[in-house]
Amino acid sequence: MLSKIKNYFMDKSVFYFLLLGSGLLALISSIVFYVLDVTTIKGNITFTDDSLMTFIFMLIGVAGCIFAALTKFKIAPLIPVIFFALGFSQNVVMACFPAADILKGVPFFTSNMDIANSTFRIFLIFGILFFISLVLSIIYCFASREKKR
Amino acid sequence: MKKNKGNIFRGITAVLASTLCLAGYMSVLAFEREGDINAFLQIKPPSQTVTDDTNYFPSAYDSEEKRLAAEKDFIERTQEEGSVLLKNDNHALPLTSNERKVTLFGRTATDNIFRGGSGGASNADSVTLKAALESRGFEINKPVYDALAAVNLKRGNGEIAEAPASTYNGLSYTGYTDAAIVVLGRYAGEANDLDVSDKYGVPELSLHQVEKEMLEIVKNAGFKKIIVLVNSGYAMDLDWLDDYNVDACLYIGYPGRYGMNGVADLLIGENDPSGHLVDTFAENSLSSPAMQNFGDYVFTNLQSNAQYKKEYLIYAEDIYVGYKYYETRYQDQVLGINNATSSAGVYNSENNSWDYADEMAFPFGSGLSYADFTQEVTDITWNQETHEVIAKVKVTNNGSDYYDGTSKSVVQLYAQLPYEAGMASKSAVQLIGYAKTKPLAKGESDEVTITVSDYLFATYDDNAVNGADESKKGCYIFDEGDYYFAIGNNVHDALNNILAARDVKGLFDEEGVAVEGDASKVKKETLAEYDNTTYAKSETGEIVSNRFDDRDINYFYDEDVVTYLTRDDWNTFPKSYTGLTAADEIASKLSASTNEYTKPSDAPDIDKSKFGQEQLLKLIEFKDKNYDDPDWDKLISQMTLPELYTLVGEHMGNDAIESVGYPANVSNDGPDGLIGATNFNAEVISASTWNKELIEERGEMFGEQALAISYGMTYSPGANAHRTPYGGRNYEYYSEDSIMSYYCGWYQTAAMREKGLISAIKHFCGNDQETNRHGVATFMNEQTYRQGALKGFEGAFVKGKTLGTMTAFNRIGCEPTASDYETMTGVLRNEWGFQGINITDSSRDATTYMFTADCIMAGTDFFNNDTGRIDDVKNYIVSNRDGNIFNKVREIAHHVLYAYSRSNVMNGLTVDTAVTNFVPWWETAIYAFDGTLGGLTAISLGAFIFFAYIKKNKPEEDKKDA
Repeated sequence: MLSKIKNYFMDKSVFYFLLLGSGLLALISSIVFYVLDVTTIKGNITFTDDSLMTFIFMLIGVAGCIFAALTKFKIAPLIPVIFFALGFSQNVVMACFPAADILKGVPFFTSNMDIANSTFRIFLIFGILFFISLVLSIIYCFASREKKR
Repeated sequence: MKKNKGNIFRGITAVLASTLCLAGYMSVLAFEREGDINAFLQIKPPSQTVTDDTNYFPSAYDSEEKRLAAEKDFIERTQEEGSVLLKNDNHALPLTSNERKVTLFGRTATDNIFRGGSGGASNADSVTLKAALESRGFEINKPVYDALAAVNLKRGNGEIAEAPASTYNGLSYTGYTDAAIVVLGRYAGEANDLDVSDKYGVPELSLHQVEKEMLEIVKNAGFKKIIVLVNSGYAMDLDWLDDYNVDACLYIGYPGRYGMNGVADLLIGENDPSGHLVDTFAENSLSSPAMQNFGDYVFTNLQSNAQYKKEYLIYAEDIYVGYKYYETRYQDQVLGINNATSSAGVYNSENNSWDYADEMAFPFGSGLSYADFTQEVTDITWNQETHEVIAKVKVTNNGSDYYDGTSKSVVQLYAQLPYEAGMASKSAVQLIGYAKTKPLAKGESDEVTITVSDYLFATYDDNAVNGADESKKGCYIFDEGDYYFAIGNNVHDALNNILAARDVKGLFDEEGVAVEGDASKVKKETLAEYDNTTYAKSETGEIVSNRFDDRDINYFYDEDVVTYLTRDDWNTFPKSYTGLTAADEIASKLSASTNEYTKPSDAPDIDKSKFGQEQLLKLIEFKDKNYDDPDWDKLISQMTLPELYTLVGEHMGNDAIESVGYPANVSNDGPDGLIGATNFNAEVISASTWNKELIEERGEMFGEQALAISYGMTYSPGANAHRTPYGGRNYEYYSEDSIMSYYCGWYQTAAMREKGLISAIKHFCGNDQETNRHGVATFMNEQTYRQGALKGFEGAFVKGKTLGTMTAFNRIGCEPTASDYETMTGVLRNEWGFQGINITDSSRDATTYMFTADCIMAGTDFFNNDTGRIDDVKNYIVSNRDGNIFNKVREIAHHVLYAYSRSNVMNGLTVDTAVTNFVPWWETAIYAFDGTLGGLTAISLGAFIFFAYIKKNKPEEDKKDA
């Protein structure tokens, strides 16, 4: 069994592992992000928090990574890209609201400036992590699944 | 090779598709926030070419340079007349011509506060105190100034940002000891009240330890004079001035772009301060009854509700806001009645016994002058036939040895109404009118005439039988008895004069010094009979009776849960009503998640003859037509159905309505100047001038700004009450006193209207704190609502004839303001005759409790910055064929078209003008970019599919590639 697994991965390119890495990063970061969203952001903001959609998009992206890793469908690598892009974009939009409060100095979308700053930091940090996942999955699209012989 | 090409195009597709996703999301956000983006980029619709014949609202200035120069002059004069000299021992001010070497203390001295934290004009290019002083020949102690400027602290959110005392370690004041000028600052703003207990555990308006340490340094440093400037939009605690040997104290509020020039001129005696307080400065800013119910309150049984659906606020102070509390209780103290000296409400009084002198620092109306004035009542008459009080007062400038310029004096007119236990609440004294003299030289006199409608001191008694319809309860009334009219240097002085006229002994001033009062400044008039008919109806003929029974929280319970403060027993000083449990009906109303309105079965269909009709008329033809002219119906019927339902979704302005010749236009904040234009002095300073002509000029200046930068409507002025000193937006509202606000709103909005600017006076109504402003259920009894929150706005509507108002985020009782029919239609339109535009505050962020149909049926016209409401209205009209909503939307069109027909938006229009919509360049750019990106993505995807799937099926080419 172990040797089968070893043989399975032996001929895979480094980009294949980058794809798996992007999926793992997306999985962990989206879970942590959503927990933080529910526990610290919700209830302290006046804008509609669509972070659940961000979470869902990222999870579908993770599923897409697994699907692309396991199948040889040439179009499959585009699936995680699309959903990571959707999740990242959703997150960028959400970040705009506390960012507007910080720029204007008026806590319009958040309860106060401390919450504006902390909310923006959360969206920014996880936005960067989502972006890394997205970039890794895009890189995979340029590459081959197997090592070049 | 083909595999590589496939991968390459797959990769390119991935990049393009990702970018397209992001672009798509950002595009949607941009279109949703179209108004904000246009405001940020300063994009406005192209304006019409204006000729002499079509310049319906001309500017008074023939160049922009002259207009800006006039603005500068106006701001400086407002600051000079609005700054309040609270203390001036030994004529410390004005500084002599030899006193020009000074040291500035306090970090605010280097980081002046020019405006508060809310939407409006920018701080950019504001003249600093340092620059203003240096331009008048002052030499500032540079090392101290630089040390303060280097202190890196950010104010706001409970941080006063004062420099630590160690900042002054090792610094020398030698050579700069003519005066120490200490600048203290307090800052808050939109969505941000001041803290009752800030990060230092101290009420934010109290003197902090770090400030005490600084003042101690100043006190012991050997300065010839110590001057304190209060750079705050809020009533700070100032009971400590003597403790630090402060010689002079000047309240300067927020001075706007050029106000510091005015401050500097006051310090050197170039002009004389003539401002008076429009708020009570108590010794302890927490001591008012309103402060006992200020802040965050959540119903215990609604804690799990979503935000905006669980918070409440109780106005347990009844009508006794600000001076009305302190002065009424003072009267009872000297009369020895009603437990006035009990321990209830004691904050600073000794021996746990309430004492006015211990609780009061500077009464409402206080303000000193460099000159010495006397005011003599020539005559005060209450004509009960014409319903006017006319006061004639001779004011004489007796001059001063220390100031030889001209000075102005304010005549403050107050009234005391007859009161017995059991009557509707009345303050022992209340402001009814005021006037300011012209500039008077030494020895010169002026006779000032103040004419006041007695409506302004009628009492709303919610238990009275309405004299116009005896089946209704609630009425403005006059109780029979003795009415006293008096002038005074401030409200307390006026009350002492009244009490002297009543032969009451034991009077004292706010420092506890015995005084006699001056009965010669008082006139007594007697009303022989109770009157419940004169003001039983409004000027429109609408009966004014109880509408707001259910805004009193006690309405919902079998037994009262709230005891309102009554002067009959000062032991009713309010407690803090924390931990209330919402009654079932309250819980149900607050928890509502959808419109209360549903289309009734007998609702009319939409009337096809009332939209899309032949376009024969143009809006410009209506600029002089009355609101009730029947031709409005024909004009509105020309609008198409999409034009009608799109109208409600305002986006910081409106698109053109081509069918009626209504041009595209823009709107924006704010109360201290339009965004993109000059920052005026804060409203509290303009009110502190007590100068109606200057308030009027403020309105003119707003109108001129609007002409210069092409705004049709502004979300200003602000007219909520300074219910407590801690309200975050107090600086952009006029006063704690509703009559002062009545006059200021009247004069300012009337002038704005004359200039063609629609003034959406805000936040209508009852938005007196920022905490929980979204959705907070604000409970008060009807008298408090009518005489307080509503009265402060009434002048703007009834007298100023403003053509706009912006509603508030809070609820009145359980009713969101924007969907409160009784306020928005019952009072605003029916009683007050309002004919203009009713716009919500930014309602996109309030969709969970401000429901579209309810708002429209209640009287809302526009949903501010919220084009998402258009689909709601479209569904009602097109899908549901709801004639009720359709008819309301036609009313909305009437309000909008009427208001704009009286605005500067009409400039340049003729019947031949064809208005068209304009698309901001960035929208075109977005469409082009997204379209191009989408196209490239599709092409790349196609290439990928070709190389990955199609070309692989051609074996001859495979062999060649191999």
